[in-house]
Amino acid sequence: MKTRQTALAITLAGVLAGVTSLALADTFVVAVPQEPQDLAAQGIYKEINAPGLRNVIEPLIMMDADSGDYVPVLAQDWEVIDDTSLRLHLREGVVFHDGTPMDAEAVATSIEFVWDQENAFTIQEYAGPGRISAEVEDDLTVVVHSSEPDPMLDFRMSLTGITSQDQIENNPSAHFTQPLGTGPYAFEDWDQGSSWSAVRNDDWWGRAADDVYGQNIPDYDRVRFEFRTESSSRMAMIMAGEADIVVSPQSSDCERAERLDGFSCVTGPSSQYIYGRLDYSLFADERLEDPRIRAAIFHALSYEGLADILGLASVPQGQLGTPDMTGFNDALEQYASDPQRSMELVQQAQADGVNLNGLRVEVMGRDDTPRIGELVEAIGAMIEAVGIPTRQNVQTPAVANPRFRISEYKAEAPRAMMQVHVKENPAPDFGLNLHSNYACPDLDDPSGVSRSSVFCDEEFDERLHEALTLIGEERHEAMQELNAFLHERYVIIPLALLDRAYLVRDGLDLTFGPDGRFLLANVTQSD
Amino acid sequence: MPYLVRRAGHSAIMLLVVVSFVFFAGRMIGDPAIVMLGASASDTALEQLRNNLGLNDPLLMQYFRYVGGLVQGDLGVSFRYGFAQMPAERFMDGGGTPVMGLVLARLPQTLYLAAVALGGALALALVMGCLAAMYPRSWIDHLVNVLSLASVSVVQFWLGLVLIVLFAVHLGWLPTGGYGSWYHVILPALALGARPLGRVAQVTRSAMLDEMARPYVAAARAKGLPEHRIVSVHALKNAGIPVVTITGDELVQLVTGAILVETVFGWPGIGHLLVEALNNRDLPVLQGAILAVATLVIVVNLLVDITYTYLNPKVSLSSREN
Repeated sequence: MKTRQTALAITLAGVLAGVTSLALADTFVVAVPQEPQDLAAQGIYKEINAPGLRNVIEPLIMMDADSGDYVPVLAQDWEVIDDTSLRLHLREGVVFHDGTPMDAEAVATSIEFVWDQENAFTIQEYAGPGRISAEVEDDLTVVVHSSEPDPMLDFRMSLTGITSQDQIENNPSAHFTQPLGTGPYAFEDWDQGSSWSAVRNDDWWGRAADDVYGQNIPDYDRVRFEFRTESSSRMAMIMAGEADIVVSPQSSDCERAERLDGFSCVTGPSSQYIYGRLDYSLFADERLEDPRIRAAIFHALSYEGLADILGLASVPQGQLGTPDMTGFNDALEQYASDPQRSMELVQQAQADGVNLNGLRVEVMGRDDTPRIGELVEAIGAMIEAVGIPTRQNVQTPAVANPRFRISEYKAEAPRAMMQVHVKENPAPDFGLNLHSNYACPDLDDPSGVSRSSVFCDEEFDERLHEALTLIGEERHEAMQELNAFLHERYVIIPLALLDRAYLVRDGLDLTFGPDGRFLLANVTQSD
Repeated sequence: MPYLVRRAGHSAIMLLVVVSFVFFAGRMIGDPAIVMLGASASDTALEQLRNNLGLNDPLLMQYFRYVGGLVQGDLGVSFRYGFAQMPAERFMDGGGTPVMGLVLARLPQTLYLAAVALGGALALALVMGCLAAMYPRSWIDHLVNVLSLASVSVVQFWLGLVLIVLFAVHLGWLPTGGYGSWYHVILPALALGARPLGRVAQVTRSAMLDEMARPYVAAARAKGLPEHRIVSVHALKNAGIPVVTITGDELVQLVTGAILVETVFGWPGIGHLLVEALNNRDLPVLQGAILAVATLVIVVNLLVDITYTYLNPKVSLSSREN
């Protein structure tokens, strides 16, 4: 009897150990925080929806994260024809995962499909001033047009996923759940609620190319993206050796990674930032228009302290972007944290007749912003400490979103609100950033790009309009000047730049891809 | 039969109350169009969606349309989750992924998890309760008391994480979560089954102690029936009513507890769907998942009542007399 029990226990332990290790063989497992809404080609422009989709669907060109230059992917060469047109020369012999050729006709179809305003894809938030179309010049040459001058047409092509023409034309609904790209991995299966996976593509063009963006042959046979909402569950996956990479760990996970063996936390800058948009010239409480009150609020904050609260974040340099962006102004510095100066400014304003009685600045955040409760509380306390009353508020998107819109917030006038919010700017350029955050909103068109802006300054708008049509060094300088213009007027508080982070198993050599994304062709096994 | 008919009627009324609550609560959290499309949506898209979903109609008209759809098995469509049609079609023509399909796809996983959790817990709890009653104030009784109290008191979310750390991270015996093979269900079922295990064991012990003190047990012993037969055949059936009652209660808790457990273990059931819908602000899916959970709870309660009539015919008889 005892022998039978022992044998049973050994068998059971063996089976359990076996099943666990079997699951990992030759499969690269990525633990991601949420299930994608879809796997559509248009979605490769952002990491949030489907991290890793770029392993299946490739763009025409990618941006080198270090130099800011574009590097070839499906387009081997390209040239700017004029301010509305871009000619792309495609790589020869590339096929989609369904075996159909990646030629000019397929690329033109993809571009028009992804950018078609009627399709209303979310990529429209990065649409340029004009309507994008594509024209086939020959089998391997396509010309992209914008109906309006668009100096960033090449940037928009770096966001565009190229997908099978046959699928778009004959089975468009499958496009959202069964992606057919040209990448080093071909989509295999999407197990709803659990994971999606892809297998190595033996016909990948990168195997024979000498200008590929990573290894010619990726190390792993298969990649699986496991959906785990709970950060502690994702952490457990890498601790148990079930995952090779964990996407979006919390800062506390990264701290634990320093104390534990087996994996480490790899961080790098992201395109996300958090700002404090303080009501200004539009429907704002007139006391917020006093430059001393605004300056007092900006200097009341401890930016290092706020970055500490957020974790995996750094202090910006006085503007809503990073040094690699066109228009970044090196001469600017982050607003000094100087509560003493803030108090003096408040006293000066009061001595000059600015009556703060009844003023209560509402520090408001949306509950889907990371650590928003602590952030709002800390900002409110810092401003209170210099003598400006505040109230703190965290609201659901359904309640908060209308309050961000020009069409709604004028109903609250006169208002004194600081909106604490996260925003992403994947463009290596301040153009969209300045336009969406600072241009005066059109009261007759509350759907415009700058519909959430609270700043109206004719001089700024004129200079911005001109800057958006410029290219090269002229554009850079014009936007640098605009950043300086805004900095001295205390318009929006750059609170923090958010880092991207991954937990990476030991024995893996991971470098972020040319565009700073996670690409399996950039992962090698060192053990 | 009239009792059961009346009971089924009560369940239908309860379901209607839940449906009404889900509908009106969904409208109270803000404009559904903004909830679904988010901050970046243009006013034109918002207005189109309101028109397509009939959100500009009077609230009562929307309510009756919603209830009418439910009667035909239509829970609406998801605009954020795994959609399989083009966005323009979604906004213009009201297309999208049917919520009913999403719910039905996830329901078997939740039922599977609940069945394994409850089945395992029930089997173990009955044995524990009977042993404790057979040997009162012995070390077995004390052990059962301690174990059942601990499993009732433990928070499922925390227990799930502890099980992951112990069995997946340190021992490496089982996966941290996921779905696919038989071994994936073990840890979530343990986390989910802990509470019913403790409560059923406690109630079984208590009910069995009462039964074991009754004269018919003494008579059976006097006749020389073996103890295991007295316990398993005679006493246990008579102790069944309170055990079934508590099992019904626990089954309801199990369905709601699955929300947390499925999230911790990445188990693709209704609970996980509900949390995802919450994160994605997918109102139709959120409503559908809540309705599914509520329907399960009501059906379970009805089944428990039906089981009563089998175990104790007085229930239906007294109902008729009343």
